[in-house]
Amino acid sequence: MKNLYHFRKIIRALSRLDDAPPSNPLKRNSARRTYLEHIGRLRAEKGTHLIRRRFISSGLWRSIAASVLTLVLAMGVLVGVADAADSARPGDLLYPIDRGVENLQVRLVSAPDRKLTLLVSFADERLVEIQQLIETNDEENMSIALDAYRITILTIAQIITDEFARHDLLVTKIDNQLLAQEEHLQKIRLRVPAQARPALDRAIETIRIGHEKILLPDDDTESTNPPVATPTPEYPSDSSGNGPAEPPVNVTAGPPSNVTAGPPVNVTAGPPSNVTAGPPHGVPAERPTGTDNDP
Amino acid sequence: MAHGKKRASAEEQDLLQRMRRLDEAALSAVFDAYYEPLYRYIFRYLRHSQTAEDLTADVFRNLLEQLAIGQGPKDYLKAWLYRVAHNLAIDELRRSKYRDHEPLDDNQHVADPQVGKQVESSITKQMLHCALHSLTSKQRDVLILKFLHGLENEEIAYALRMNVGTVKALQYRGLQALRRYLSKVNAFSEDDL
Repeated sequence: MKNLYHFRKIIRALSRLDDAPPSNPLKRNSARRTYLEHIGRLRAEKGTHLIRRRFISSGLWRSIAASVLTLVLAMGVLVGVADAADSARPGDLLYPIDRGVENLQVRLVSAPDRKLTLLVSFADERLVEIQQLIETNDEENMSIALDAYRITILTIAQIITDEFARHDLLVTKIDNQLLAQEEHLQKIRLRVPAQARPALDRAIETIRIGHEKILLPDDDTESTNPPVATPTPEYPSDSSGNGPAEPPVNVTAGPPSNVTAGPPVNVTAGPPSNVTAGPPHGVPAERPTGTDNDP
Repeated sequence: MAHGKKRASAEEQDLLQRMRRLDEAALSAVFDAYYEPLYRYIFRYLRHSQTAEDLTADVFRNLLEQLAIGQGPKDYLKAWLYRVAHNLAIDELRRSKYRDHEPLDDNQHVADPQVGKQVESSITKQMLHCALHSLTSKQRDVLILKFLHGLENEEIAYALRMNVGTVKALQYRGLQALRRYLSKVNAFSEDDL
């Protein structure tokens, strides 16, 4: 600024050199009014504009769109692969996926009867696969298919066992209650006069009949009712009349292998009917023909 | 463009923040404060009042549009407005190719000493105008913004997109050229120079 001191006169003259005419007040007011209206419009638009701008600039819409697109694509791929894997056989690339889809289907079903129906259909599928592999002499993959079949049958057996156990708990509870009632009636019987005892005897007999009906179903219901686990003095005769059958099922004992009277599961010899001695729920009841060779 | 850093005052920062929020009072205050100076600045280029008024209104419309999209002045409000005004004026000049005052070069003025002789030991506006037009356009822009519109060197640098050092150099050389010119036409006495 020290240098500019030498130009002070010129600078003073320059600062007075404003020869522009004043602006037109009308035009200026018009410009001001337009300016204020413009501000009002912008303020009104600001809310939606800001939201839109923030939404776009935040990249949220991109994330959402990408997620939806990925989900749709993934679903499409999964459905396509699952559909293609449905006809896969052991040894095929998609066979593990086929098994995974089946397992998922079984897990998603909660009703035991529907679950059993599914499992039986899967067992049928395994049998078809085994048949095809036998025709092609593919022993290696046949063993895989047999294992898969065995596992399916074991699962069926497990479900049946669980259902029996649940039923058995109820039967045991009712039976215990009937026994307690019978004991109570016996005690009462000792205290009442002799002429009143026949009525009590009839009541006690009725309880015994009921007790036996619960524990020992009639012959016509034998094939449909589940066997029970509580100790009973005798077992119903088998259908051939050769004396008492084996104890039906130790349903509370544990793994499905205990369900059967003989070998747990004859996976190589026949259909799922080998699982139980007298299986309910529509499982085939015939005994396999090859049990003598079972391991 | 590296122009000097002159931080805006707290008051100006507050004004800028309110402007970014489209505060009507703040924007009205800016309009009232700068409409007339910007109009005069643009008029100096165009010498046409109606066009200058239209372009001044365009400066403020530009300001609002930039603020609406989150742009606009960050630190230098005044310099930002003058930059826009400068650009609009230059664009208009190029577009219309209309000038009611052609810039004069040194030779023309020196060759016409009658202008200086008409003034007796005083500076007339006419003479000073002639002197200004003898300068380069950059020198003239710097001197007008500095001494007629009162911008700081940093603000001039921002408005004209140049370094502060360049602004200072142009300013000094412009003043020197003015003095040389005016001395030739005897507009100043020897003491003044």
